Amino acid sequence: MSHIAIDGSADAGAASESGHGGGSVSATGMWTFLATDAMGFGGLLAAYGVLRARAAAGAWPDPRSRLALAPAAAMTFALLTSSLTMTLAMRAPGTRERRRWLLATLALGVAFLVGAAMEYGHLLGGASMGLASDLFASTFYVITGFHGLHVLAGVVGIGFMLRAKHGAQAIETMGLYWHFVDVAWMPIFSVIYLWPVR
Amino acid sequence: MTEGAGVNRAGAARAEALPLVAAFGALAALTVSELVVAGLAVGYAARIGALAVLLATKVGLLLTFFMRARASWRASRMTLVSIGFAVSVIVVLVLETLYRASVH
Repeated sequence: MSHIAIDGSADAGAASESGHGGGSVSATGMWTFLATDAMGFGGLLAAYGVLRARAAAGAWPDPRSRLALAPAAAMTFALLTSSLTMTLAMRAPGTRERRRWLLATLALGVAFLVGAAMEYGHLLGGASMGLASDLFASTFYVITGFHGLHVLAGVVGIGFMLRAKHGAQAIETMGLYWHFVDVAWMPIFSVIYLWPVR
Repeated sequence: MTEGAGVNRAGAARAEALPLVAAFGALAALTVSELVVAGLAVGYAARIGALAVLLATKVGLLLTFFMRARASWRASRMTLVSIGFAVSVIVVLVLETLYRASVH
């Protein structure tokens, strides 16, 4: 495990040998935050599941009749790839290489946000799926919007990482957050975009 | 730092990246599988079941290879328990709602 800071200075002792610093304060703090955040996403997905299960037969729309699958799949691949680039940034042996992978992660995060904004624009404009059109629309916007805010926060965080001096531990903690954003997108993509209606 | 040490570190980083790239490939393949399964003309329960298995596999791969949850088990277990608890609550709530809907 490398201990080189983004500015090239040594950061010995900042990260433990366990990779994500199992015993470090920042990693433990991030894992604790992620535990609460997982419950937040869980609550929203539970609300979606209950509303969908309660809906009368035929009242819940087939997601594929409203949502375009190809752009959502492209956004999923962007997030997946960004998890790979973030991990490569965390493990990069040199400053320049680390910075390059962080930039790639940032670009993929921005690409995801652009995709989400374009999807919202299409749904709110052309497809006429307003925020309060029906329960499917409301839960869709709340859940994907909540996740989009997480991606935005991650993009801002990575931007700070690129601008200022940060040690390997800070980058690894940021990496944990970024991977969680990817983990949170998995059930959203599967449950909201792919699960068929009866 | 000597030139040899730098080369060794770069080589070690490349060797460390191989499982990551393999995990990424598996995640991409699983995502494609999800898209294929969602479009299959099979039963509703079979499709939902297959998609749930694919989803769980993807989350497991991400937690294992990218977040290295097992390596930092002491810190990560609270998050993993939270995820498990959230999934349990969702399943129970949805099943209860389906039961009530079928009774009434």
